[in-house]
Amino acid sequence: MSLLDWTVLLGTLIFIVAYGTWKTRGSRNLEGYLKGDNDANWWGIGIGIMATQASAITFLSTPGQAYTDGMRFVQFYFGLPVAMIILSVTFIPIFYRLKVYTAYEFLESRFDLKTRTLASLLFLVQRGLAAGITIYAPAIILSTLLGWNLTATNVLIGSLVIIYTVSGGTRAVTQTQKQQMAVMMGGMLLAGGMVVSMLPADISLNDAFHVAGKTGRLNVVNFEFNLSDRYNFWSGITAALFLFMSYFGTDQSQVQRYITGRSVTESRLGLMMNGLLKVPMQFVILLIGVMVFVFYQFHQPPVFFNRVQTEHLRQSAHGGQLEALEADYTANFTEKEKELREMVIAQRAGDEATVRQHADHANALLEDGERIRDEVKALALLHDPKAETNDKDYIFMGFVIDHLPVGMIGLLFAVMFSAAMSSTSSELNALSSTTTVDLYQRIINKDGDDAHYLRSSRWFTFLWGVLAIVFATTASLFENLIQAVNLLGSLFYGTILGIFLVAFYVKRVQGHAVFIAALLAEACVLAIHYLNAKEIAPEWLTMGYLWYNVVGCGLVVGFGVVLQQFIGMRR
Amino acid sequence: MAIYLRPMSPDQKPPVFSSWKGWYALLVAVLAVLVAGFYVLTEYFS
Repeated sequence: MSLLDWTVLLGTLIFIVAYGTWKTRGSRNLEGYLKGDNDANWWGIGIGIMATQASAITFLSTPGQAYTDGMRFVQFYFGLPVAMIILSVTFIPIFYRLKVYTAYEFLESRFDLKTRTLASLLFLVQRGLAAGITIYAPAIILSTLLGWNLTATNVLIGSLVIIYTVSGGTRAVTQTQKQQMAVMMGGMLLAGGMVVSMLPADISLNDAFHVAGKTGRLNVVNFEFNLSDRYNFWSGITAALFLFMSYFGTDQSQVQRYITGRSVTESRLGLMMNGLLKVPMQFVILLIGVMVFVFYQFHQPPVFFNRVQTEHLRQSAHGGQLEALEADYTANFTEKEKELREMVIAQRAGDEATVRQHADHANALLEDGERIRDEVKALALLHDPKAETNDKDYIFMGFVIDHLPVGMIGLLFAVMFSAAMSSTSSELNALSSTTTVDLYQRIINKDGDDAHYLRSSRWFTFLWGVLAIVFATTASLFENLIQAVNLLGSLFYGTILGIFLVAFYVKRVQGHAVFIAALLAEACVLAIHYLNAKEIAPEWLTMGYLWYNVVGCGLVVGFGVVLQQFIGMRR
Repeated sequence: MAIYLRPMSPDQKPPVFSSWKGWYALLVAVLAVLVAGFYVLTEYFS
């Protein structure tokens, strides 16, 4: 990177960390530290909710997802606005009425202490691990692209977040997320504009959309119902609805954003803002990925986007085979580009038959290109059996480094850092709140004064930060980082949501029944995932991971009702 | 359940609409328009 890029990157990060720390210094009580003295307005809450969900994983993985798989991932977010409505009606009034610090406090007033503790522990396990991935995602990109040590990069990102989150608590998280969100959205929109402006002069935006559509990248909506299909309209509006209700309603990293509002009205408006903007925001990020795909149909892309792996292979005994495959890939690219240009000309002339003919040929060439890429990956594994062959998450930043002008590269790296910091700070803040309020203050040390708990929550923030860094350094690259986080959430969220739904809507089910039901449901979800991961699940149990949310939630409700019958009969 | 879902007090009246139902309808309507737009996009360029 150039001096200007470094200046933009470091200037952005140092400003956000220093300003956030200075502006929110000196919390004097636990309420100020964990709830920001209930001073947040609706747009601050809305930005906080969006910035918490939009981690670096969102900005690294999503364009790569669109590049390889098209736009269909946007359907995953269709359940989100509906979830916002349900939470606004049900969850927010209760949290405000009980003046809770964490979502799990409510469960003790409704059930008992053990159910509150179980839900808290499930959250701590899930979110503690996810915090590690949240740090790891940008760390691996930076360390690979800039040649940094991965561990040192993990420590750097984690430390920056720890500084202001330990210092200012919730108020620091809210304050910094406003600037981070501005950097993220500004940087991504600028990058999107530049991709479009860098398309060949004879390819208009309309042509670009036709190229994307004919090559299967504008597959935004699919109404076909298929349980094993991860992303379609029905999985988005039902299974993902459960995930979002659980994430926004029972995950303390989100609950903490909106219980800090001045009133129920401010919190509800924050959720409405998220419900209105989230789907368009994801659409735009995916569209940027699709435009990168179109760009690479007219500019030769690398055969493999992880350049470090490619260079390792080039220097190895397999370097000759790599060069031969690269030559094949170039020939494939040239022929495909020719087909697509002819398709565009036919499209403008309105000759549908010729368009279809060239599109079919171009798609066949795309598949051939993928086969060549698979051969390169096989070669990389032959050279090093531990080599990471998934390069989806490198596509967008690879494009940024190779093609965007000086200054923009630094800004886009700042986007990734800002995104990582915004979600990690919320996570550490929430992990600390839950540990302090639900475990330490409630079970371990009930007799401390406010100053003691304030000190404790600062220490817990620090310790969770250190743990997140440790998790990050031991994480390995999953198939796709954003899917890894959603999978991890889906394993636990269904059970937690089930507990809350029973609490709200099935009044006759009491603590013992829901506690046992939650344990049984979690065991079932983990077993189903094991069977699916090993590909030994019977057909009726074969499902995409989003459905774990529905299954877990349904099992808690079902087991809870049945067990309550037995417990009631015994008594 | 009545304990948990009792009606809102007047000070919780939302801006713009006379009740929160207006906001909820807006969210559903925007989602419907987006899905319809996405469907047209998918079909038109495929």
